[in-house]
Amino acid sequence: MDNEHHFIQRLTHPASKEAAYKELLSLYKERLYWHIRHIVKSHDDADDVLQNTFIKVYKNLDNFKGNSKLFSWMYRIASNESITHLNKNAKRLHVNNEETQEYLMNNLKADVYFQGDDIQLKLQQAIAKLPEKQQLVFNMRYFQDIKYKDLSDILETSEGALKASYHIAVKKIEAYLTQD
Amino acid sequence: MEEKELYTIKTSGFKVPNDYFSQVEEQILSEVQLKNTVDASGFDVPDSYFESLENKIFLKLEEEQDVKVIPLFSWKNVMYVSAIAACLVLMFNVFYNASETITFDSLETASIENYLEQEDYTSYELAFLLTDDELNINNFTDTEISEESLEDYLLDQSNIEDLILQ
Repeated sequence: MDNEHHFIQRLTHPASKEAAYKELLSLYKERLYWHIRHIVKSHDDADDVLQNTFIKVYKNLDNFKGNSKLFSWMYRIASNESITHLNKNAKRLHVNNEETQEYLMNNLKADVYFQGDDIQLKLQQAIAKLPEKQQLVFNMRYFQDIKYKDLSDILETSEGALKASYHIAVKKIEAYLTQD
Repeated sequence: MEEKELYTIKTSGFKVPNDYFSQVEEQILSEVQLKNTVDASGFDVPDSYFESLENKIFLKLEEEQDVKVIPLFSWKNVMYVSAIAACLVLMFNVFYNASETITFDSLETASIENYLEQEDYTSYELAFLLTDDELNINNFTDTEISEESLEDYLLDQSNIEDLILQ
């Protein structure tokens, strides 16, 4: 925590800001990328959203109050940016959330950066059928092993509710994978 | 308070929620099963994407900052200009009109007529406007009016309706 406090000070001090920001980038770029990628699915969209997220982080560093961990704060920005991106796409295509998810799944089949086999594609389809919040919880827990404590900080939900939400998601996905 | 012997305390006091053990078993098994079936997401990234990412972000940040330094058009400036213009217009209205003295001639006849028609005034107020000199009765007795001019006046100025009313 002391280290984090010191790091935040470096990030907000004009003289050390650039160097500290570079460290922040190399520390979190991959983690945030995968978080975003699991929400928006395509690499190009994930690239756009990731860049916007880091630019937003840079611009808002001075406003970071330190009420939560730096890492949770950045994950929250990334989640919001990703969801906003999906909503914008939905608006552009005049479709609702469910149709957006179907559209993303159809694109996934032809995506050169999706190398999944049939079962992995089916897993993605099963995830796409979950409600938005369950998708977030499942992706962060299953693919990124984020602790419930941190998840609770990022999603501003109690650990108990998150555990319940995750297990419901696992059951739904299993049911989807074993059907027909 | 009487101290209890340690051997008399048989339970720790900890409790678990109802059905916890059956639930936790099911949860662990279903997760393990899913992980066995499919573990990775299948998503891939272009070669050396992460290496080039930092430069891209720095370039974008610089671009944004450059754009901020040279605003081509700013609403703030428009606000200043319009504020000055509004002040000038107001000044002209106030000072230009104030310096112009209103004479009786500059008033339009129609305005005076309207005023007289619409305003509520008494004959006393009207008489108050006239000076004593103007009201001197001698004006009528002392001034000789020739018959010719009277005749001319009546011919020119009066009409039959006025005479009938009288």
